Order: sequence, then C-alpha cells, then structure tokens
Amino acid sequence: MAQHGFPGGLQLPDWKHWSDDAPLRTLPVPPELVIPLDQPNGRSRLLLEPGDPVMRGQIIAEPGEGWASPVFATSSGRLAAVEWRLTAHPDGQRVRCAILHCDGHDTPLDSPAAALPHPLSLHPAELRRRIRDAGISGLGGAAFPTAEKLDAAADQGIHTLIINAIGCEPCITCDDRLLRERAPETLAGAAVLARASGATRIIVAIEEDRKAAIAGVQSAMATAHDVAVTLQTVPVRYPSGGERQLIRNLTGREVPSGALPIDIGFLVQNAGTAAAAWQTLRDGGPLLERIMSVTGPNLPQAGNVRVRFGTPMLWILGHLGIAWQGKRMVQGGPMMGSLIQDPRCPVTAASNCLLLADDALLGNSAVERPCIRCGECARVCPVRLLPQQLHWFARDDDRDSLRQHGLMDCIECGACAVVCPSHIPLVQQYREAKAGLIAADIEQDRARRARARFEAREARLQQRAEEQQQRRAEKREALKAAQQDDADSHKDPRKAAIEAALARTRHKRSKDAGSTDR
Amino acid sequence: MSFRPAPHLRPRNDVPNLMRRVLLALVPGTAIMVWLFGGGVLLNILLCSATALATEAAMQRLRGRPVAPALNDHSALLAGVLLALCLPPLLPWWMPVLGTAFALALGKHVYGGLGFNPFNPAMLGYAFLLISFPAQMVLWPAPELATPGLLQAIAFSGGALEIDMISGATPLDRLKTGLGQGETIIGLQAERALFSLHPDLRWPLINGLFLLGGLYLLQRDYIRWQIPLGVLLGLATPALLFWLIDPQRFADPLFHLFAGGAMLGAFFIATDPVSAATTTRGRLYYGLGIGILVWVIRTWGGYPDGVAFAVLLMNLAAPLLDRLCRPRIQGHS
Repeated sequence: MAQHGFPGGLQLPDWKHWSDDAPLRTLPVPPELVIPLDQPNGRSRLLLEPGDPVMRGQIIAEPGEGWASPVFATSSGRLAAVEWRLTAHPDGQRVRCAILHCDGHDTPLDSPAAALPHPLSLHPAELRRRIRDAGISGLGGAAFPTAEKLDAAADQGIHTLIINAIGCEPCITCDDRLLRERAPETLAGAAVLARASGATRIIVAIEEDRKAAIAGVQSAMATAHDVAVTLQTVPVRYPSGGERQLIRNLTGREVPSGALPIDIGFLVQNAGTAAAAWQTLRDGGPLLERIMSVTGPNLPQAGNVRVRFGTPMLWILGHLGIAWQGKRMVQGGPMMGSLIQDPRCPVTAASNCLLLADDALLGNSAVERPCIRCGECARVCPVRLLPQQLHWFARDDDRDSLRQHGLMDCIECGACAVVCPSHIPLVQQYREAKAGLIAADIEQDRARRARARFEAREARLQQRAEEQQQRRAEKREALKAAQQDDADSHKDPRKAAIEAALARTRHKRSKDAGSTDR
Repeated sequence: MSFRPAPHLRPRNDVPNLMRRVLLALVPGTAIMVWLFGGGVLLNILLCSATALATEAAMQRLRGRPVAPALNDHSALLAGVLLALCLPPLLPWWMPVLGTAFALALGKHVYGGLGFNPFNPAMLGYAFLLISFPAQMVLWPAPELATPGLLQAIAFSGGALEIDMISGATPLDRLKTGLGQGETIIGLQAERALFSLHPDLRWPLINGLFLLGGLYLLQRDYIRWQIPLGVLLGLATPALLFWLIDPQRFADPLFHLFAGGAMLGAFFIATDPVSAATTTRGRLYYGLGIGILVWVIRTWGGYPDGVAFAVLLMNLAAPLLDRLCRPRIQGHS
C-alpha cells in the first residue's frame, strides 16, 4: 500500500532484539499488590474499607472525577491499607494506592460478568458498556479509558479503526510479541472495537521490519471471517507510532490542530487494547493483566511477561533474578518513557515496558550548552515546528510567540532533544512552557469572569441608586403637590396629612410589588 | 535517584565534535594555502587561534562565566582559524591579533557569547581589518617571493615595511583593476597565460580543496546543503547571465566559483549556524542572498572579493527570512 509519509522523524537504534525472541511468560501473583486508585486522567472512589477481604475481579473503586476506569482487585486476599505511593507516572507525584495482601489462592469472584462466546452479536452500545465495566484502558502507554474513546467515536460517527501495532520506540516489543503469538485474538478484538465504535474499515499498522508479527497477522487474516481488515506496513522511523503521524502516514490526512482523530473519522487503538478487549469479553470479568516487555542490554532474562496490574516492579525483578542496583529504570521506551524513582512502583495499564540500562545508554548528564541554531531539531520534528525558535521564546517567556509557533501542537516525542548537539532538555522546557500557557489561559478566564462579576455588581448598585433617587424625587413631588393642594383648597390639614400618608403607602406598595415580581 | 524527564536516550552529537569536524574539513584547503603562500598562512593561524582562545577566556572571565566549557567547545578556535584563512599571509603580527580580538570581544561576547551573536564573528573581524587597513589587506604574496626570512621581516616590522614589491595581485584583483582600466577579459586571460601556469591555478586549487572539505561535512550531515548550494547558485547564476550577455566585460561563472573565498565562504563561513537563518527554506534564501551579493560586490563594488560583506549583510536579514519562511505546522491550514 502506498505510504504518504510524515514530516521529520529519525532513525533510532532498534534494540528490539534484546527482548523479542523469548516467548511470552506468565508471572505468578506476588504476595502484595499495589493498585493505584488515581489514574493519569481521573480519580476513583474507594468502595471498601481497609481490612475487607477481596476476590479476584472484585471492584474496589468506582470512577469518580475525570476519565477514570473502575478499579479491580487483581487477585484475592485482603485490602490491607490505602497508602500514598510513587508510581511511574511522569509527573513524579504520589498517588493513592490500594495495598492488597494476597492469600495466594487467586479465588475469583462468585459472579463475574458473564462470559460471551460471541461478543460480536451484541449491540454496539451494549459492547461499549461491557468494555467500560471491564475497566479496559488503552494499553499503548497513555492508559486512557477505552470506553470513553469508543463513546466519542460512536457519537461522532467514524469510518476507520486503526489498530496501532507500531512500537516505534526502541526496546519495546510487547505488541510485536502479542501479534506473533495472538494475532487471531487481536484481530477479533479489532472487530469488536470496530463494531463498538461504528467503524466500517480496519487497518492494522505494523513496522515493516517486524516480519514474524506481519506473518502472524497475515495468517490470522486468512482464517478470519467477516471483518474487512487491511494490513499496512510502515517504514521504521520514529515517531511513526504517534497517532497523528500514523494517520498521516497511512492516509495522507492531517488531524487539525486542537482536534482529535475522531473529528476526521479515525479511531486509533493499540493492538494490546484490542486483544485485551476480546479476552475480557469472551472470558467474562474485568481486565486484570497486561503484557510488558522487561528489557535492557546484556539482560539474559529479557523478554515479555503477562503480569497482573499492581505487581511491584521490584518483585518482578526479584522473581526474574535481575540485578537492578546501579541501573536506571524506565517505564516505557527511552524516548517518551518515565524514569522510575521508586522500584516498588506497580505495573499499570501504562506499563508497556520496563527498561533497565546504565548511564552509557540512557545518560544525558553531559553539559548543556547554548543553542547554536543548527536546526537539526526542526529537521526531525514530526509536527514541523521550529524547536530552536520555541526554545528562545520559552526562555523569554514570550507567550504570544509560543502560541503562534505552535507550542501546543508539540507531541513531546523527544526527537528534537535527542539530536540537539547542545544537549538542551527541550521537551522539559516545552512541557513547562505549555503548563505556563495553560495556567495563563485559566488565569485569563478567571480574570474575565471576575471582571464580568464586578461590572454586573456595579451596574446593580447604580441601578439601585437611581431607583432610590427617583423614589425620593417622586416623594418630593407628591409632598409639593399636596402642599399646593392644601394651600389652594384650604382643606383640613389633618385630612390632607391622612391623604398624603395613604398616597405614600399606595406608592410604596406598588413599588414593593414591582420589586418582588422581579 | 534523580528525577529527569524524557527523553532518556543519550544525545547523538555535541557542539565540540561539530566544531572539531569543521576544523578537520579545513585541513586540505589550509595545507595547500600553506604550500602556496608559505609560512605566513601558518603564522596567521597561530596568531589568530591563540588570540581567539585568549580573548574567549578573558571575556568569559569578565562576564563571570566558567572558562573551561567555553574553550572546550572549540567555537572560538574555529572563528580564529576562519579569520586567519581570510587574511593575506604578509601582515604585521598585530593585525591578525587585533582583528581576532575584535571579532571575539565585540563580535561575539558583547552579545552574550556563543549562540547569541547576530553577526559572523570571523567576518566581522575581517571587515574591521579590511576597512582599517585596506592597503595591506588585499595583498597576497607571489609565492616565489614569500621566503621565511622575509615573512619575519614583515610580520615583526610593525607594518612600516613597504610590501608592494613582494606581493602579487590575486586573479580577482587583476580582474578588477584590469577591467577598471578598460582591458577585456580576453586580454586579461592572454596576459594571464603569459604567467607560469602555477599562479593561475592557485585559487582554483585552493577553492577545490575547500570544496572537498565542504563535501565531507555535507556527507557526514555536519552541515546541510541549503546554504552552500544557495551561495554557489546565487554566485553562479548572475555570473552566467551576464557572461552570456557580454563575455568581454564579465567573468565566467566557473571563474567566480573557484576564485577568492567562494568555496571557503559557501561551505565554512556562510554555514555558521548561529548567525545564519535557521529555517530550511530561509537558509536557501540566505545562501542565495550571499551568493548574489558576492557577485555584485565583485563586479561593481569597491572591494575585489565580497564574501565578508555579503555574509554580514545577510546576517542582518536572517531573522526576517526566518519569520517569512516558517514551515506550515502539521494540522494547521
């Protein structure tokens, strides 16, 4: 199929051979599970008390604020405590985690969601509900609740589902391994996601050097039945797996700035997510595990493992007999992954890879020098930004220029920082500048609202003052008229006073009635 | 464990390496200049390099910045060497020193050091010397006369020695003065043919070797093609046009491409990223502008070669070019 390409990009070292040979292994359940209650895009409400017993697959927290998935116990035992723990999330903050002490029996919940031998027979809305209830989130790294994306896609109407099996980052092989061993499940999952989202066409995208995975998909396509699937291979170039880059590469279409792929009729889902959707719907019960690459140079134990959510990285390393001391640990790839600060942090939906390496591979401790405007960053930028200019604007905190030069379109792929001969931490700088822009927007909005409130109050006060003045004027008029009458007709002064009082009361009543009406 | 955001991959290149490669690429052209013009070239390089490093160190110190990283990035050294290669080899020693000190102090550090200078420091130093000492700056020695003893005599005479008698004009000088006196290209070429083959081939040879070094930098991605190609096209296109119109009055494009500082300018001087345009398209226009200005100055200007002024003028235009040549961001219309 024709390639449309995408701008920029660069060749990175591959390093997939470290982990792509070994077959999938299933890790046992650890004695302690650490399950984050707060997710990258939302928070959830705990439904149990510490000390409560839990079963495998039992819901322990339901979605609260933001976009959250329900949280499940991934094995049986006891909810020991709720603690603030460090996870591998890039913001480096502690999150609330449920600490489960496992009993080792891995007893399933009595009444899990019913197994579905033929998920495709369900109505799309019912499929989406089941996917939501199963707690499925994107397994590509962002961990966004899948049902939210599917709902939005179904609402908006899309035509194409793209199954993203591109591991464009070095080191990560979980999707490669998945397609080698479980291509039929992945395609079946793709069909489920397509039905749930209303897509009529499925494209599976793989990097062209992943021969075994391509063969796996091809044979699965040969035996597959009712779905219109096409397989498209793309050249190996970072960041070809980025959502926008992938759509551009496969179809030549650009997702407009500030819009989402569904706005132009595409839904992109990770291959692991598709397989997970199929397995959980077919077998019933929620999503409890994922496939994670454990890799690094000179690591004989490297490979891909099926591991329960909440398993501490430290336990995995111990179980596999990996010496981690003195090495850097990264969750995800070396380009966009996050440095693990606490090795006890748990596996989550976002944990596609655990990378261990020393400074020779992952060090960027070299001195930072001034930008020499060599422009290499602009050459590799897949969004066609001018990182060298953004760098200057960010230094000057020149927000207008940052906006004009498209800072908010930056996908933080890190290509610019890797080619920078001055070793400037560009991505970090852009992230901070973005936060600054967003904060400025919020501040501006707040100021605008405060001003509107102030102006409304001023207007109200003024109106009240005018009304009062008018009332006084009327009163004076009435009094004057009464005195005039008095003088003219030589009436009884007592009668005149009574009449005046009555007039005042009438006037006041009508006023009051008017104001309560308002 | 320290917290550090992505990417974690070690950067693949660094500024000192970039500068070292450019210095390396200068070697063939420099070697042939030493061979053709004698030790004066080397002496200039020595004087300019030493002055450049000393000035860099002094300025960093004055500005309260660490000295070692600035010296280690080799940018000062490169600026010194580039300026030295533009200077005629028979100058009193204090001229290269003065020019280099000017280039580094007023061309680079007053703006904030590496990365902040709007002008190419080497060319600023050259222009300063050319304007201050026009007579000495255009005299290139006849090679057979440039003996080591004489060089010392001139270099350390403080500029008092009359040097007209031992220097020969470059082809660009001859062209300029000859055409100024109403001679024709053919006549000049006939006269040139009377010389030994040697002096005539000097500048093409030097330019050829700088071209070679430039191609090495291109091939290794240390520089990108937009600026050099722009310069060469900008120089050759008007030259070709006017030569086709009147070959009696205008030199042919090949002569222009291989004369004076054309190749050194196109591949080593105009490509200084700090003072050049930084957008891809902007760089092409930047190069074209330099090429055209070089041709204009050579043809109608007051100086025989115009690389320095062309580069400085285009330095001024670089920010504007970058504004006009912003690429369309993905997802924007």
